[in-house]
Amino acid sequence: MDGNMKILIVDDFSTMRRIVKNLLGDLGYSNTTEADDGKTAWPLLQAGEFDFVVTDWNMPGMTGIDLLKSIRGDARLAKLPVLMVTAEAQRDQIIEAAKAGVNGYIIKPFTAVTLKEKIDKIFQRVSEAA
Amino acid sequence: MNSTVSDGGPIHVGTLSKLKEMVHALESGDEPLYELYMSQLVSMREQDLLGSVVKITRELHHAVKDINSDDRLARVASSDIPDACQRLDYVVKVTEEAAHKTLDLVDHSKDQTDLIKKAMSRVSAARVRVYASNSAPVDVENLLDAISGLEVSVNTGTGHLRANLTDLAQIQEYQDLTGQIIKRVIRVVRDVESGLIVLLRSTGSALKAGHASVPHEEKLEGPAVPGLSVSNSQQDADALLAELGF
Repeated sequence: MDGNMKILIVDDFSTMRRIVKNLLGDLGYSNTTEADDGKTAWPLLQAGEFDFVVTDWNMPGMTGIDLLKSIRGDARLAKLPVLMVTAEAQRDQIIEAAKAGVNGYIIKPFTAVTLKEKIDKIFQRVSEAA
Repeated sequence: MNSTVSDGGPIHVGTLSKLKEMVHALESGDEPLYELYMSQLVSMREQDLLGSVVKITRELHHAVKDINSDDRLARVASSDIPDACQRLDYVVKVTEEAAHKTLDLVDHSKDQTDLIKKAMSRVSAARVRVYASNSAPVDVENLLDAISGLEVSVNTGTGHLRANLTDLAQIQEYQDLTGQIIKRVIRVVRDVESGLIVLLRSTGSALKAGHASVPHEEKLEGPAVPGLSVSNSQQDADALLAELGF
């Protein structure tokens, strides 16, 4: 894993973006950009060479699940790892995210340990697949 | 009023006996008595009619009063709900501000610990040099200088950390304020609920327990609330994803 990898944090709550950003910073990832929903995230993803997306689900404008589907449907972005960090804890939602191709699913409230665990797992799989 | 039910419907006992007496008066040729009974009969009918009108008027009055008594609902819709929304917006704002202040203080505290750590590293390095050079005066001087730096960092840093902890405790006051506002909004919601129940009853709509909510279209549940929603823990989610091959 590259500590300098470019991460996009998508959440409509600025505090949650900040918390995720701080936790990522503690894990050694300080190259982060923020977006407040899928709609603002999409042009950023199109323009910037992001290596990883951490997104909330329930956001106005464009939800995280729609953002995930758009990413998987875009030839250039299709393989971008996406971690969903959301308060949505219903079985159906988890299955929907899995079907849409999410790489990891964290239920809020969460701990730094869970975040690290999921990120490690995602990049371990990415490197195995490479 | 006494009544019996026959094949033809209810027949008032009083009317029946009055009619018999009228027939009897007619048969006996007593016209004044017949007229008297006739006027009594008409009067009885009028009283019945009047009674019915009074009853209908009273029911109508009650129905209108019930609806009007729920001018409470009108008040809730026109003033209490917009007011509650504003209050909840304020809660969102206050909690967001409190969270940012907390995060600011955490960031500042981390900086302070980093400064102390850096000063401590300087002391360690200077101490190693003193041992290596067998206490050469310049290295001893460096060590003393590093120790002074550490003293300053510790004094300043712990002062800041102490102040930050006090501020962090102080910021928690938002819970008291927002808690009160939220409780007030809960009261408005309860008013709406009881007003709607009264209105539904007065309009004759059946309110069946468990049938209150029509299934929504696809709707996200949001954060799980203990006792209200069935939700999965992180472990459940991990297990489910593992089942799905993740």
